[in-house]
Amino acid sequence: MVDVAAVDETFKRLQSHKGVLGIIVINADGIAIRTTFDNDLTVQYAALVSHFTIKARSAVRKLDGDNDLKFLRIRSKKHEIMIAPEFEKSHEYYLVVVQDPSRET
Amino acid sequence: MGDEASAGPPPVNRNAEEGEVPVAQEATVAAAEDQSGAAATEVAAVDGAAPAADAESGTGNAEADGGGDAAGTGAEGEADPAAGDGSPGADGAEGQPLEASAEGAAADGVTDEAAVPAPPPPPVELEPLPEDYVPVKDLPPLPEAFARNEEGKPIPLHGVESLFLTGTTIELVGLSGLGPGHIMGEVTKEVLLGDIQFRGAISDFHALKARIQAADYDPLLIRIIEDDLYGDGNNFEIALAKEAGETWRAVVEEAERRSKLLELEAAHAAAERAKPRSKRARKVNPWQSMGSELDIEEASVRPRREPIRLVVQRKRREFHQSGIKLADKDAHELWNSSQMECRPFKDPNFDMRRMEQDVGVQAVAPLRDASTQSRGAIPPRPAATQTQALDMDEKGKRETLQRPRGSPGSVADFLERVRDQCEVALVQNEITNIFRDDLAALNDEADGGGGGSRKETLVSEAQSFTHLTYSKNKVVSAIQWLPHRKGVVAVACTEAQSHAERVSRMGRTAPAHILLWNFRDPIHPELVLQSPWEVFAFQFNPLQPDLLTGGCYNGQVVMWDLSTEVDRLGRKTAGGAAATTGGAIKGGADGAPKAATDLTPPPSAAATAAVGGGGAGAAGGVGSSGAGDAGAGSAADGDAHIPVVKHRFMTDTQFSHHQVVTDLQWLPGVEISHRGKVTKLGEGSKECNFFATIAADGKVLFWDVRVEKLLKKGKKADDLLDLVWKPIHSVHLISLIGMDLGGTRLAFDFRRLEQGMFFAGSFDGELVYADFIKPEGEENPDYAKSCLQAHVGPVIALERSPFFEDIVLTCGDWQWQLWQEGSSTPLFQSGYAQDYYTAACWSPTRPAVLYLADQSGSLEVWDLLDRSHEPSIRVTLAATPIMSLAFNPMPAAASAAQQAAQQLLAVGDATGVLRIMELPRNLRRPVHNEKKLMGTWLERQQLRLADVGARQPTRAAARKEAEERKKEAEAAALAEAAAREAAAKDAAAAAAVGLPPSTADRKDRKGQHLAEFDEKAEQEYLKLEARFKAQLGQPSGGACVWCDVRESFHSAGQSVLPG
Repeated sequence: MVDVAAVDETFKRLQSHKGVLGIIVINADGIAIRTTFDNDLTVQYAALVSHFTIKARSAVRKLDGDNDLKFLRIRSKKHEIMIAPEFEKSHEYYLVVVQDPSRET
Repeated sequence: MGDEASAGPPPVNRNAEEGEVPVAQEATVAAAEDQSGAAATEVAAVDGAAPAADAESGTGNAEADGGGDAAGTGAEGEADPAAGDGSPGADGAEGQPLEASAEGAAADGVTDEAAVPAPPPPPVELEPLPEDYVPVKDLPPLPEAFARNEEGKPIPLHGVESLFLTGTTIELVGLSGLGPGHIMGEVTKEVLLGDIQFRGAISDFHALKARIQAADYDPLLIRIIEDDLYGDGNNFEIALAKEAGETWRAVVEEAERRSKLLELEAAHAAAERAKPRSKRARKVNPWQSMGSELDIEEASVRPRREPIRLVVQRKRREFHQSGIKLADKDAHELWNSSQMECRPFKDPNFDMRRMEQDVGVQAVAPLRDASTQSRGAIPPRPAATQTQALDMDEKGKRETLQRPRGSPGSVADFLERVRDQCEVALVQNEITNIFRDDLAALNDEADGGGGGSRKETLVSEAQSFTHLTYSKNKVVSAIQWLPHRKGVVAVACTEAQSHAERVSRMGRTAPAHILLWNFRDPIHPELVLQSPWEVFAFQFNPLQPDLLTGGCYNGQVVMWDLSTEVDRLGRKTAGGAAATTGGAIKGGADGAPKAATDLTPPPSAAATAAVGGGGAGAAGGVGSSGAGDAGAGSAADGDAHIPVVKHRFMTDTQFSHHQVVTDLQWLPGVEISHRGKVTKLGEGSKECNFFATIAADGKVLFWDVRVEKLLKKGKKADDLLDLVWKPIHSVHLISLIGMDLGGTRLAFDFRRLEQGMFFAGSFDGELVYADFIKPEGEENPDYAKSCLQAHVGPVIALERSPFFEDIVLTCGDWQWQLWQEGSSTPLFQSGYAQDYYTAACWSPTRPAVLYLADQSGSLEVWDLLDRSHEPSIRVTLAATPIMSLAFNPMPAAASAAQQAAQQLLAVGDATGVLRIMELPRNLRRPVHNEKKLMGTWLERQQLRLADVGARQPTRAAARKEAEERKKEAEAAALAEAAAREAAAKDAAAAAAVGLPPSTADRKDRKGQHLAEFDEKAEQEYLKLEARFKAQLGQPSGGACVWCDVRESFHSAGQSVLPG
């Protein structure tokens, strides 16, 4: 339970930033474990972002085998999608934060 | 040979089947002589066909001997051509003719085979049919077992009695076995007589006792009468004569035999059917002579005489053998010589290895590959690519989330690690504007830098159009780009005539034209719209672009409907010209005679005639050049395919303008009532039914385009003679001097049409600000809110800025001005140009740019942010005056970048040439924040105006003061003059006394002269100035001059000021 609280706390903290539209944690299978978006959007984000991240990571690693992807920022016309991935042997998670700084939360 | 070939084969086949050879084929062949003496004898083989014939006849012979039917047929086929070839060949050949007598034998064989169709291999249990078998159905009908009387009714045979036998009798005589299928039985006389004896008179045979006894045979035959054959009700008949009995027997036997045969036939037929088709016996019809044998006879060639024998001989010594010496030699001498030696040698053929090549060819039907791509709003989503998103149940998710910290896969740990990164990014985004387009500013820099290619900085001509018949040496008085089509410009052409010239020609129909130029064809206009009078202003309906209205010189307004035309142009078929002829004939038939026969009709009659003709032309679809067009028709042979569209409706002369219509504007989105009320249609309304026209008669008329509404019920659309198209609303404007305003231009505010405010310009340079909404309860209201003297000459351009709603550009004489709605002084006046301006318009994309065209053929581009005292760019486009300008329209949805991508300016000149100018990038693309900068520029002008206004009292006071001072000075001067005169008198008196004038006096006189001269010059100058001002129409006054100077100072200063 303590650990769930820690997760919640991190979510709250990230959400307190200006213009944060939503936060998702995705596991290696592309399943959103925790989300603040509605279900449809979450499924979309989970599927598309995990694919994109895997692609981006493979690009980085193909350029240099020792290198790895650490952070991904996708700036779109409407908002910015920040993806913080972690590729460990035991687990693989992506933290996705969508922000529109011009909007008040 | 050809005849034979065509006539030959069919009879041959038939003959072969039939086995009858009507023509005895005699293959007369010249067999070559025995060649034993070939060395000595030379045979002159005259015809090369002879050996071939030889060979063929040989074959025929051999096969005929064999006697096979196939061979016989073959010989038959071969012999026919051989006879043709061989016979002439035999003429000159030496040898023994050989009769191909085999034909007879072959023919016999064929006859046998063909006459008797080969019996099918008999099935084991089936009795074969006899050879001369006649099928049952072909046999003569069965003989009847009864006779017929003279009427044809059946009666018993001679010696036969019909009688009725009761059931008892039948049993007693033992005939109970009779019945259908077995109708005849035998009864001995003894039984019958016994029955008579036993039963006496009741015996059925009693009446026949004597005849039975007398019967010449025994036993007697009794037959059942079937179906009451004789019609006497008896059921049996008895043969009492042997002859009749025999007949009966024969009939029954024959019937039995036939039924058996039928069975056999059926069995054979079944067996036949069971066999495969190829094995079935072929039915052969006997040959019938249809005259073909005569054809063959005629076609066959036969020798009519014996072949000629010819022997040619030559002496042996004459066979060139002089070089050869033959002598005897012993064999042993020769054995070892090279001639006799027989050495082994290597035959390369044994060693040569041949490769086999295996090549196969297969013919297959040609394959075709085709694919389509579906297009539409919904992108194709094949079912195969649809997936169900993976998901985890709540429990699994919770478990993942609850993984303890420190263990692998703990979400909390993961978040801890990545959180900072995210937060840094989030904060960064918060403190900087991530959506700012840095490159946009960069672009402007590049623009400001200037330079670049020629295309980037210069106004260049993209295309030019003129047409010999329709537009050459005419004035392009109005231009409009078609609102819905790309690269199409409509141009109204008018004669270059003065009003006086026109008046002299008045009353004569002078058809004028509006040309539609398409960029694709610079030679021929795409469409020509014909109007009965010259059109000075026209406009396409912005929402229904097929409708087009134009104002004519005589004040009428005409309307064209291009909807049928546009369809046709869309197809753009080559056969368009052909399709138009029908319409042309119809239109011409209606319109031309009226126009041609009646050269000077009264205007109204001409109008109605034209309306009638036009209506018919429209109803017929299309007019064509030359239809009712006396002026242009004859010259346009090469342009016959340019479709000419006649107008559809025309306003009533009585209710139209009485002067030239100078401007026409559609009013989208509003509904105007007869009482001058304006209602705004709903947002996004697609209706545009009203347009306004202004003319030199001081009226602004509002028209409803739904003319059909005016037609009486039950009238057809082309029955327009009694149609009266009246304006729906009329606004009368009065000029400054109380006359009708000679209106030239109209400018509505399309964003606030329902408020009814509009500007109008006049021929006298007035600018009228008026309201076209009729106030309640007033019959003749004064619509004009203000009337100002803006220009000296006619206002030739009046246009609202596309970016600032309340700013209006006016242009007239040598000057253009900017006006703000509601103000009584111009916001800005340009300096006077060298040449008279002829057209002006705003740039559609740059708020601070104006385009002006002048009489010298130059185009001026004024960039007010660059400089406002002179044009930024001045380009000479033509040697002739430019008469009109129009920008290509851009769809409202197009972004600024798109709009800036291509900007074309259509320029029409006074000789009928339409030029399409491409504008450079810096004129297309707005400068960064241009609208804002222009706004501040306008504000500055307002401030300046306010400043000038504020100073007006002090100026006036100063002027007064100056005048007073002047008066004082004058008074002083007068006093001085008087004093001087007095002094002069004194001096004269003194001179008369003899004293020389004093130096002071001399000085005075000199000064007086100078002052007088100055004064004179000053007055002269003032007079000149006043005259000039009067000419220009400017109120003469010092303040105004001051204003001008100040203004030019201001504008000069502005270009230096930082933007």
